[in-house]
Amino acid sequence: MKKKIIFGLIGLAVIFLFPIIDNNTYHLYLLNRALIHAILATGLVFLTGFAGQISLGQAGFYAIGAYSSAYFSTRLGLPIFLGIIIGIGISVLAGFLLSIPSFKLKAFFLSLVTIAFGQIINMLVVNLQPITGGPYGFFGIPFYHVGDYMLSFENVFWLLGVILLFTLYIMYKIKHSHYGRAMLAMNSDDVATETCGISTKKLKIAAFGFSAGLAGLAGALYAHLAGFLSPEPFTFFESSNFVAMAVVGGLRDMLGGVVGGIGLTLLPEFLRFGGWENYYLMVTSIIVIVIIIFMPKGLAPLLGNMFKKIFRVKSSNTKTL
Amino acid sequence: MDILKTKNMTKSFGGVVANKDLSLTIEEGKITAFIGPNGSGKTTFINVVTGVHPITSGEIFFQDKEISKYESNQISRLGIARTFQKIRLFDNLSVIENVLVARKSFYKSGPISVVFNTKKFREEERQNKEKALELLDLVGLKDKAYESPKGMAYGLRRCLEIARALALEPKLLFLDEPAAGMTRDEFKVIMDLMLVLRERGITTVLVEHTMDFIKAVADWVYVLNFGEIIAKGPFDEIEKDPVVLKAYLGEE
Ligand SMILES: Nc1ncnc2c1ncn2[C@@H]1O[C@H](COP(=O)(O)OP(=O)(O)OP(=O)(O)O)[C@@H](O)[C@H]1O
Ligand SMILES: [Mg+2]
Repeated sequence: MKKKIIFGLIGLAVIFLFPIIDNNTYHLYLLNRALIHAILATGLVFLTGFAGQISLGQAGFYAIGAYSSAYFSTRLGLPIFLGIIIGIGISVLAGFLLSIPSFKLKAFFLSLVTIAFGQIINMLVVNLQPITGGPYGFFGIPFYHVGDYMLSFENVFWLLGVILLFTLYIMYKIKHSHYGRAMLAMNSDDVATETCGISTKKLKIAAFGFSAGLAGLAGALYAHLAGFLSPEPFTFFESSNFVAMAVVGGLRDMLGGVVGGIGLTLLPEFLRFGGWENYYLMVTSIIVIVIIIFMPKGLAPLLGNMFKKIFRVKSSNTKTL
Repeated sequence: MDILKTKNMTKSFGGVVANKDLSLTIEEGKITAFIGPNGSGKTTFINVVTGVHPITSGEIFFQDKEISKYESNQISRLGIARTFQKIRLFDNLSVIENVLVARKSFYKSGPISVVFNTKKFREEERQNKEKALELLDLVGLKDKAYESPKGMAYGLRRCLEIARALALEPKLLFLDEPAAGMTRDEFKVIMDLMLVLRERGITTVLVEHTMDFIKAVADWVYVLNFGEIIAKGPFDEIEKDPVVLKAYLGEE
């Protein structure tokens, strides 16, 4: 047990030292995007892997978080911190709303409704020009700063890392409580869950709200990182990309969203600079398909097992010594 | 004292009237059995009372409170628990977790207490785990508490489903064919358990095809045929009733 903690701490230290080892600005920007995607995909793991619900409209919440925080901090001059909180709040409310169709609908029909939701938000982003800037974009969003001190990309990386860890901690605690057990029960059988005295409606509202809140948080974090918003990252294509992250990482694994979010953000870039510049998107898609078919549980459980094996070899070695 | 009362309770599925104008009472503290040929509406009766299927018309009263329009989860929290004819366990959870799911409504800690892992929450978790282990002990599953129910023998899965129902601390318990597909020994375990529950004051409604079982435990029997009650009374009387014999044996 103690060894595990030490191992974890060393792992964290290496990750946190990374920006100092490699301080290429573009690399750091990508890593920051990867962490943001990890936060969002973690929300999807919660919604789909734990609670058994589907959302193919996650880019809608991502947009709500991004534009809300941009609007409140840029146009109304609120501190970034407050802008992000408001962005999360509005996303959560929208998540509550999107949970209503899930009371009656499942699987295929539910995914259609969530796709429609994403499309509606995208149309709003395009058409609500006075607020969003429409297709021309939203400019001048303040970058992360504390008073007069501008954060560097390294600082932002650490900030996002801490937010991600905090997210995972919350999810871990919820999973191992009466709430988490109820979510997993609902995932397995909602009639039986109801006869255990649990309102599946309330659970669905909470699950959609939680995952929407994380998507909104991710969107707001992205807005202040990019400094500029346009409708393109908030399309159905992005929504399905987010689902792919959660699935490739592992829907049932605590760390599925982290592995998938980071993996699928960095993979295309590796391919692009690895000599596949013409085909990198296609190759990424093929890799996603291969993983989904041959590793339906995702990469995170695999990495977890590998880690355990290495760890076990080490500990048995020390025993023989 | 009647713990449950129905008035003209009717349930139809499209053209099929599965329960027709049922007006009946379940006496508190007793074991009441429902028998009847396949498709006579026994499971439907349980489904409607527990809110799994919405009622078509009529009224249901639990301890004199009308519950006809309640959601399934509300009915369960009032103290009406059940098992299913086709066992429904949470195979993605361990044995003890299955029981703990039904303890959810006994927790007072909110999400904030959970995230901050407060003393109150840890204490609640400890108490409910203890309660769950107690119930698993009662049905003989304590040593399997941390295993998955997935590959377990049929009889054990049935016992787990009963333990989960009991975790609601029910006043009224519905068991839909608990002995179906069980071996003689497993069957005996369930029968003894029912008598223990009666001693503890839990009212049980039992749907069964095994007549030996009914004869041994039931205080009162309702006989259903095509969704209607065709006979009622203690088993010895029902056993000889020509109407019942006809329903079971056909026209002869
Ligand atoms: N969900 C449903 N949808 C449509 N028809 C149903 C449904 N549930 C039950 N029925 C019909 O209602 C009637 C009563 O069925 P029910 O399952 O209550 O009978 P049962 O007495 O429990 O029979 P068995 O002894 O075989 O379990 C049957 O004709 C059945 O086909
Ligand atoms: Mg039945």
